[in-house]
Amino acid sequence: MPAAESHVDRRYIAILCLASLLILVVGVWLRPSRTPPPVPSELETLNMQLARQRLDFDRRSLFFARKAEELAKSAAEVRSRPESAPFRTMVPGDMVLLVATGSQGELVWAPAQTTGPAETPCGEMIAQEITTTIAIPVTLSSAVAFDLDNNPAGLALTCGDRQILTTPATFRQWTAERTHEANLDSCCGLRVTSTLEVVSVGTDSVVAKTGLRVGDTILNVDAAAVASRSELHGALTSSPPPTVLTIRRGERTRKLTIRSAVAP
Amino acid sequence: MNELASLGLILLFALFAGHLVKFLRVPEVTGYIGVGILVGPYVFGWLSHENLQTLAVFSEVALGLILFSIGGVFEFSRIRSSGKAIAWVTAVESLLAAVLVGGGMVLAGQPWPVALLLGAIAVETAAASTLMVMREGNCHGPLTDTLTGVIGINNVLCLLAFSLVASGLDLQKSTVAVGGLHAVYVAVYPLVWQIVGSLALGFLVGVLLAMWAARVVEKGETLILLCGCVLLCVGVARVLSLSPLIASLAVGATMVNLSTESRRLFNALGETDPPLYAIFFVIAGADLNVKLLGSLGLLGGIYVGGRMLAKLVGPWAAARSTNLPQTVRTRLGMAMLSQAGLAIGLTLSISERFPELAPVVNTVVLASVVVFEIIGPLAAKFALARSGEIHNQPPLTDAAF
Repeated sequence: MPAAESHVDRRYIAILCLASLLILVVGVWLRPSRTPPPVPSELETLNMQLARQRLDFDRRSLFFARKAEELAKSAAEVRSRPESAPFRTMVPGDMVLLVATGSQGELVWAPAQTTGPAETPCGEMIAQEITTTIAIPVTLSSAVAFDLDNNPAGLALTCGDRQILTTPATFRQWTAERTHEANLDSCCGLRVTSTLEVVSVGTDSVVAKTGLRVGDTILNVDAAAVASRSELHGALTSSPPPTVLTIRRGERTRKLTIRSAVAP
Repeated sequence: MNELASLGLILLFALFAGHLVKFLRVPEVTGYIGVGILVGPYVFGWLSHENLQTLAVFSEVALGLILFSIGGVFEFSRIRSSGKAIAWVTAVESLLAAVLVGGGMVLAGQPWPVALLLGAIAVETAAASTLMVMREGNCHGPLTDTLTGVIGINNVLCLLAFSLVASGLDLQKSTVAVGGLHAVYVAVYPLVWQIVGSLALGFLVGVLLAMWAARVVEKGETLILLCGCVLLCVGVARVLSLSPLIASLAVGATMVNLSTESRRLFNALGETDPPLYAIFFVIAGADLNVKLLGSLGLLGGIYVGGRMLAKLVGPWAAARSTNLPQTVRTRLGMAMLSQAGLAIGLTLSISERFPELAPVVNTVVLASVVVFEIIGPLAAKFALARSGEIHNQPPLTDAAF
């Protein structure tokens, strides 16, 4: 054998050969598996998607819960001094977080998204419609909305079956109008629109006796022009009888007289 | 053009280049590479990328034979006499190349992974083109012996450094993604397997070759045995994801130490393999994208400059503290400038394992390889000629360059 011709002992060569073989066999056996993972079934894929969505939802919920805690103090400040807070104008699709205090004093929050332009009418009020991914409880009405950079974005209100976002100034004006509307109803049995068009007249009220009808528009009280519910209420309650109302009925202008005093 | 026609074209162009370079007094390998660049897909396009892919098997065989030849220098008697000095010189020049290139990349603002990979690749010195220059000049002497040994160890060190860096990056990636002991195992396994497994395979094939060589007398049979063993080694290494380079080196080293017939085998190989080498270098040249030279830029400058400085200064500084002759100390570095085979192979590995780093690393390496494969063989021939170790033609003078 040629190995015998060299100066190296054949036994050593045999041992080294065996060791080399062993290295190769063990090395191949220990090779990390590179087989691709089995393809999941349709049901498994669906379950995985649901689990992922659930995870996303949980993460988002945690994020909003933490943000709501941060913003609780700011929300209280906005509610107490709404005029001082600069409100950010939101565009449709913007995400907001509604933060409010619940009936038990607990912190209540809900993420929402603006869905319409900022000039969407809600009755006589101009507001922006929002939708929430979580249903807003009744206690959340007049919650403070914040954008994701913690800037106040408005007050969240319930408008019929809709959720809206508006500025505190608009909200205060709207509230005042509601107050004057209620005052007119209680003093005179009269309900009018913001343009002072008569909506209803109480049958036993003092103005009903003058012949005022639904559809008439009130222009003057004792020759003084009135333009809003508050002015109308003020003029009617402060004016001593007889009080002359100038109204427009169709194309014609008429004068109606209230003979008795109007209770404030 | 089909593969056979392109093979014929390669051989004829190589022959033409061989005649031309004799006239110009530059190494044959430079001529082969130059012809390869011209006929390759990036200049005239006579050889397409598909042709090159089909002919890549010749490159693998040729590289296996080249590394097998280099393995022949690892004879125990020779290692005992100058092995320590050679190992020291190789370690210093390799480390210096890695530090200068890697450090330069960090200073240039490159991320650590890019710097580490480029540093590891910069270590390599092309075995094939350097050995070809030595064979062409029928070189023998202390510089030739030292250079052959240094290149053999250098290629192993380069592969080891690259495997270490790649394992580290893999580990970082997989621990970020998955974590755990399995990630460490997956990252470290290739490192150990490529070195230990390749040596084991090379040893086994080397023993087979040594045992059979004594029974084979005819030159033709000797060649069949040699080619069969080297092909078997390269092929099995590919199947087992081992390094064909280290395995072929180990075959040569095993055979030279176990068989008294080794000199006869190496001589037989030397007489018959020129066509294979010609194909190898023309293909190597055709693969060089000269258009990348324009994209060298600052990083390419740092790579080329840092590596050249390390290769020139490192061996000189390390050899000062050894008993190596003066001619080796002063000219070894100059003979080590070539860079190709392994470096190109490693860029392919980077494309597969780290595709996010490949654009920067591969552009720098491949563009620099063009530079080194042009100046490397010229510098090697100059160094060997100045050392008086070229024996088939009169020594070159400075004026020739």
